[in-house]
Amino acid sequence: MALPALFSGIGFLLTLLFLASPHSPWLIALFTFVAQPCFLVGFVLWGLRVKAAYKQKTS
Amino acid sequence: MTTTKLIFTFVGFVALPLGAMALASYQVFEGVKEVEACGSCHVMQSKVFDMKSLDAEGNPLPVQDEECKRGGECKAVKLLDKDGKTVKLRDRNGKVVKDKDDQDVEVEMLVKSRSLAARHYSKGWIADKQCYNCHTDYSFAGSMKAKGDGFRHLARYITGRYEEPIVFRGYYDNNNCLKCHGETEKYLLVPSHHAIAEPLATSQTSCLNCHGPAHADHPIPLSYQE
Repeated sequence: MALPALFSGIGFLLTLLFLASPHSPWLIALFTFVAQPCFLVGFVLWGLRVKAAYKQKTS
Repeated sequence: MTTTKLIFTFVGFVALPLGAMALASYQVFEGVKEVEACGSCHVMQSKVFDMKSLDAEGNPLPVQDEECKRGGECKAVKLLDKDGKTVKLRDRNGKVVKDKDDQDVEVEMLVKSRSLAARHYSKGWIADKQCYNCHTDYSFAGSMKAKGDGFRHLARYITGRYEEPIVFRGYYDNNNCLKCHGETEKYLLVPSHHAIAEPLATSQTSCLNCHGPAHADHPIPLSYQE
């Protein structure tokens, strides 16, 4: 779970940075093009981990 | 993976990120409507300063005398009372304020820009989100176009693909003026408005031709007159 946590952590950090200064164009871009994809990657990796765990449990 | 671990990881990797994205996305869509969002880019600062009648450093403008109003040299003048005497600055207790040299501080009037943006702002005719209200066309399509324009501005700004001075692209839709002014008595009483009603409605003739400029590009605007 380290890798999903890393990506989600980066996403949260950038989101918090953006919310601290919501009018900055650079932070808007960082949130839109970095934070959200990081969240998505974290979600996908988590899903694959859950799927692998389920397959191991049922096999 | 136990059920408890599954629930915790679901909250951590799905629920909380979705909540954070929703909150931040709302801020992106709503926060960019604020004047501060437009003013965060240096190319817009002169227009925001003009709208708020501030100088190039963001300070309130000093009083400008008659020569300055005519485009000549500008220097500060003092506020005069009806007897022609300078008005002293007083604190809330009525006591005259002294400067570091123990001299009475005299009141200086603030001067407001004559640009349309400044006149609307200083009069409070648009309560908030002044840039967005004037630069967003009517209806949902107008809002989406404004968001698209804003996104394009953001992309060009962070990639540096723009040239200064920036130039307004396209044309300014008169309906952005007429949506507030078009049905007012003041507007309807002007004969020329009726004479060119169709060109005005289609923006072939711009309201700014007679009522401009919308913004001042230099940091020392003219004084405001009623």
